[in-house]
Amino acid sequence: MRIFRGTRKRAWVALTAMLLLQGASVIWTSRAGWVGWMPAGGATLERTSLFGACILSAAVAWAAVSLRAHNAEPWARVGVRSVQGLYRGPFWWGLSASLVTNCVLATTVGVATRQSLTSLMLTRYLLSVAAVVAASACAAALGVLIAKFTPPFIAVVASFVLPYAIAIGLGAYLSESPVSAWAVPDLHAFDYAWPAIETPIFRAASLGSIAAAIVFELHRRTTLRKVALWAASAATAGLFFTAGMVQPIPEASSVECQGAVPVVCFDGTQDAIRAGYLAQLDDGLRELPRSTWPAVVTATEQQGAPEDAVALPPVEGKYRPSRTTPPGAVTAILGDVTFNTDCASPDRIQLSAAMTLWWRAHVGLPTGGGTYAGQNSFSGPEFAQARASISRLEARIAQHPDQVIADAATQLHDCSRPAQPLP
Amino acid sequence: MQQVVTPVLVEGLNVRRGGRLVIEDATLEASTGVTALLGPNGAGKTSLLGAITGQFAVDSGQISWQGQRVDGRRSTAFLATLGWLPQTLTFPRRMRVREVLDYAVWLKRTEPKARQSAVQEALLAGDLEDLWDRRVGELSGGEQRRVGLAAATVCDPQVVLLDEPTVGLDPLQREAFHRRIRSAADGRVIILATHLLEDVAATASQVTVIHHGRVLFVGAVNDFCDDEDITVDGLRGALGRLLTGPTAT
Repeated sequence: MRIFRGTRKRAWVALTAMLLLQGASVIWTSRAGWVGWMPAGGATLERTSLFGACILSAAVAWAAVSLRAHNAEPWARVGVRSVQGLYRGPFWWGLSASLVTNCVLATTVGVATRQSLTSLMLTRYLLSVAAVVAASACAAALGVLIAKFTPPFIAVVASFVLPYAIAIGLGAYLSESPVSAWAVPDLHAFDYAWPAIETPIFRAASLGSIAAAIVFELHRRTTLRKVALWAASAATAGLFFTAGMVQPIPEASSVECQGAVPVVCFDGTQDAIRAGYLAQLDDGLRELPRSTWPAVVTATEQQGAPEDAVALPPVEGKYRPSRTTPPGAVTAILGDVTFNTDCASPDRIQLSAAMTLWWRAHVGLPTGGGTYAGQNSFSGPEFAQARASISRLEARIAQHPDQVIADAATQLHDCSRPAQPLP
Repeated sequence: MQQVVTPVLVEGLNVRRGGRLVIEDATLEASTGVTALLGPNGAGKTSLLGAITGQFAVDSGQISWQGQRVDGRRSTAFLATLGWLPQTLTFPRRMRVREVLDYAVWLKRTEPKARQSAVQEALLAGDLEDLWDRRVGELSGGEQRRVGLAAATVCDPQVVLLDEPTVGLDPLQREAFHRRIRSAADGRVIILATHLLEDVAATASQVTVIHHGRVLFVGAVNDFCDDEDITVDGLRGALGRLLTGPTAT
């Protein structure tokens, strides 16, 4: 253990494990937003650096502040080492842990998004990786600065809070300003459009040059530090100039349809979900009379789909469309769409609730709450009444399944037809 | 005729801290052996040592090492010859003694291959072989000061500055520490800042008395002490007269 030099091996392992755990948590909990789609994968990787920067900065500050906390800095400066030399150890100690973490996370996300791999996407993904690495260097340097210049008792807390405050400030309070181009990108921003290619290039160059200037300063390479600062100035100017420029992602907009009845259409972001989606859709369609089948189904609500298409976008949590297909989600949504009504008639609303509940029970999905994350629970008064009469409805459907279901679907979608009371 | 160069020479030194003049026109000469920098608490001893180490900026005056001025930016050559034990130095409790010494050796920019042997030498010189793998938090106050002295004398510095090294030690520990200081002074310049007359009597051959930032006496302990044999009482009498009487050097 050499805490003053920041090269404690066990602490390094602990820091790496913490960073990995944090990154893996972000990646796993947001998987519905990016799996199989490399543009969103790059944004996800950058999101791991949000709390990662806090942890890294605090850890570096913890290692670096021990000199001042023990009144040892003046003593150490009587050695031959420069001030930069004293603080270089904690910087590299933290940054090396972060580099290992970033390599693992970047590989994981890269493998999970390889379905959408093109040379342009790979380039952009690598730019995201570069930005994350550079941001890590900036976070580690921030930890050193805070350890050097703030009261030692507050250094660790301050170095944890400050990166988060900067990120939130950039993302929330300066979102209309070009400065926000430095911020961690929003995952949804990479569904069908992304910033113009210049922006991520300048962003990686800006953060990378700042990181390089920090490294050169710590190694007392004055000329190189000046060059890096000039580069950072130029790249940052370019970043601010191009901030806000957006262009569509061509691969995302290309709709491909397959099958006969129904025709099922996917866009370019949904390659990863095709098999699971189609399997669930087939399971659902088998339980419905053919007359109720939609002619065209799209897995998204995006432009370019046929006019008569019924959109059945998979949903998971706040992600719509989801890039994963939660078990039962498509089957459930098929029922929702089939038995939904836009009619204002109370009878039809009641019929819609009853049929929806029946569908869930019939295909083996729970009726007491959401079938998948983010779905509404059936808690309205119409559902309470529907629950009371569900056994009678089931009996009636059991006698004439195709006729009752088709009749119900027709009534729900055609408001001009007279409504029939529930059985 | 060859001119005799005093290893450490401070002349006309003025140091300000927080806008206040804490060292005023100070003079100090230190040759091989122990030079005591004697004065009551707040006299300016730590500020004077801090000026020599470069911790505090010099307002005016000069500090020389082997005839070369070192009061501007500290040269690597000068820092390589300097060892320092500050008054308030502590080490992380979980750090081991060998790690403290290894860090002290690393600070002196020792070649990686030579570091291990330098640590071994420091352990031997500081009589710390039995403590080498102990954590700092497990050591007594006296043992921690021994580690501090060993850290201050790694890589064989030619000038060692000790700031109140015996404060907080019991009489037996203090006596043992005096022996170590005398031993460490062999062939070195040691400047020992202290307010304890026992330290001066036990270790020093030269003494500089400082009070309110002004140097009142520079010379041999023999010349300073009232008694022919250097005793604490003799030093006390001389110091009392100096502090209460007219300023003189």
